[in-house]
Amino acid sequence: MTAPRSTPTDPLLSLRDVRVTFRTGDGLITPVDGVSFDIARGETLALVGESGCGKSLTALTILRLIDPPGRIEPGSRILFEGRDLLTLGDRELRAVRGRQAAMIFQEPMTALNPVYSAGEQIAEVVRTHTSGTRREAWDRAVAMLGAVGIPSPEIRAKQFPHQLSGGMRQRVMIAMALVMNPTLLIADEPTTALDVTIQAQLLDLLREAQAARGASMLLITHDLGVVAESAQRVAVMYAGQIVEEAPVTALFAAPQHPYTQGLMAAMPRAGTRRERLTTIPGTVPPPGAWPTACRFADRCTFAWTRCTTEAPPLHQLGDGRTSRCHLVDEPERAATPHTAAQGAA
Amino acid sequence: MIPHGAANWHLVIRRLRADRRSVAALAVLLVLLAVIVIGPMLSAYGPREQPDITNLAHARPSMAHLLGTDAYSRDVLSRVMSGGRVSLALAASAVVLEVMLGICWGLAAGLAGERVDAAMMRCVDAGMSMPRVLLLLALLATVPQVPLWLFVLFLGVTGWFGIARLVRGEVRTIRHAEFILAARALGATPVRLARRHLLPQVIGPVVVWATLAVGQVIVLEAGLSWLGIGVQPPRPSWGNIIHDGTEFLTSAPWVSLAPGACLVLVVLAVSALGDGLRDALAPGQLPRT
Repeated sequence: MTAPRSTPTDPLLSLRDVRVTFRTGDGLITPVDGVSFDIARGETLALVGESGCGKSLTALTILRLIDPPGRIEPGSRILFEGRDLLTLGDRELRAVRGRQAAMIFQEPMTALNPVYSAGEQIAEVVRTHTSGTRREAWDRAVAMLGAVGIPSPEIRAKQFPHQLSGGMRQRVMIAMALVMNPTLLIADEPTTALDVTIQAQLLDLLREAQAARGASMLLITHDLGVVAESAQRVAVMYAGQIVEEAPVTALFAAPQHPYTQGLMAAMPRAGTRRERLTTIPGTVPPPGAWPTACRFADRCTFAWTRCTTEAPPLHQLGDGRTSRCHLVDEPERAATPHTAAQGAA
Repeated sequence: MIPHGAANWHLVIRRLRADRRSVAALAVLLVLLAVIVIGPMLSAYGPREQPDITNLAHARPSMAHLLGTDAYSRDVLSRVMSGGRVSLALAASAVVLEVMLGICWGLAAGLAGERVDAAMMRCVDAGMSMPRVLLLLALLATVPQVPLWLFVLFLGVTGWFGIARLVRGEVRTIRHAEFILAARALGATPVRLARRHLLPQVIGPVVVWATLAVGQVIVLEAGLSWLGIGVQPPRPSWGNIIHDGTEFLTSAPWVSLAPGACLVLVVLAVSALGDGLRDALAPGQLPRT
């Protein structure tokens, strides 16, 4: 027996300087640019940000699901259970996928194969990773469907995705992800396609399943309400980079990065009377068109000349907090916001 | 019971049964097949039997010889039935070969990287750019008195280009589908992906294509056998029976007409069935109630 290469106190998953590039007609773009974060055992890290900021791509990168023309750049490291996933062979990697780390996709209608029944899809995962009989895999699939809260699982298991409701389809996806008892769950906007009451049920289900197995979770979402409910720590992503990371309570109490502040301000709140929701002006520019210094400068209400000339480093703020903003150096400027239009000019 | 299967074949069969054209085509094919399979066992004459070459040559259709006799006094009905066995079995095996080759090539190209895919598809283009008859003539010219199995092989290797292109196209469109990504994320191997996730998706168009290909191959076989380089006499096939009769088309037209009519009937039925299958498999169509 070899000595364990990781101890329980090590993080389960560590991303170090992960970069993903795509060769396009207009040249090389880097939609994931130097992302680093840790997820401890049993912990949930929420990765938040607007559409197009690289969240989903980061998730796919962890399981090395980036296809050409995309490429995970050398120098990136993805340490999982003490091994660098980027150095694994295909066979070892496949043994990790689905068994140790499983992914839940956003849209179960397209993530489930339309020609197989719910039970078959779950049994398929079992049969990929174990050598048991069809019957055993099927029984395990049915049991799993019951465990994710689907009533009369024996009947539901024989139904096809189009015969199930959206919530049930997502439960099937969750069952597929959980059936091998992975230590890491990667959930890419798992409830975005569902209505709010179902969302809450599924988040509860995920939390319970995670707690029962002591699993860790990377929860990708743009819904800060989901974050507050489910995560212990939050990493905020903007234009391919982590711009702020903090424990969830600290982040909600005092967001440091102007982008995080913008996201918070844009969140609808109960008990406040406002005619219109606050928005962050503009949209995330596409990866080829990112500002060279601070990538948020053109949308930031605090931006000054330094922001368009010098890229801010990821400042360490203590207590596990970071912020990629020059305001850390010059906090007095936080008192003088202006409009984004002036900042961009 | 563990449900198993790919496309919803129950639904396809239900739609097919509601389609008169397909039902008629299927009926024609089944009757013909039954006659061809059972007929020779009941026939009074063997297909190569020459009862009376002096008095019975080119006898008109009668109760004794329902479709008349040929120049050697052989019973045309018996020959058409035996020839049908040869023609249809040959067509079926050639199409099976085409489909297997085409699926393998198409799946491989569809899953391969861009360059390998491009190289593989240029091979297919090269194959398709030459008329199949020409290819077959060239191949058959190398072997005098081609044995049946080699003829099947030749038909197979010259006929898979279209199916390879079809399969590759289907694979290319669905290989980035999210359920494929999801299957990969949960550890599916490439072989499992191909077998369990891609193949069931392409099988519908492949079935349609194969049905239509049977018609094509029957015609090709007949043409080549008519030229004398396909199925070799005395083994009968529809093609060489038609050939036997061409010399006497005015004096004894039944010799060529009988196998010719069978040929037309089968090809029509097969293409009608192919069309029906295509409609029945049409994606997005709701079941008729």
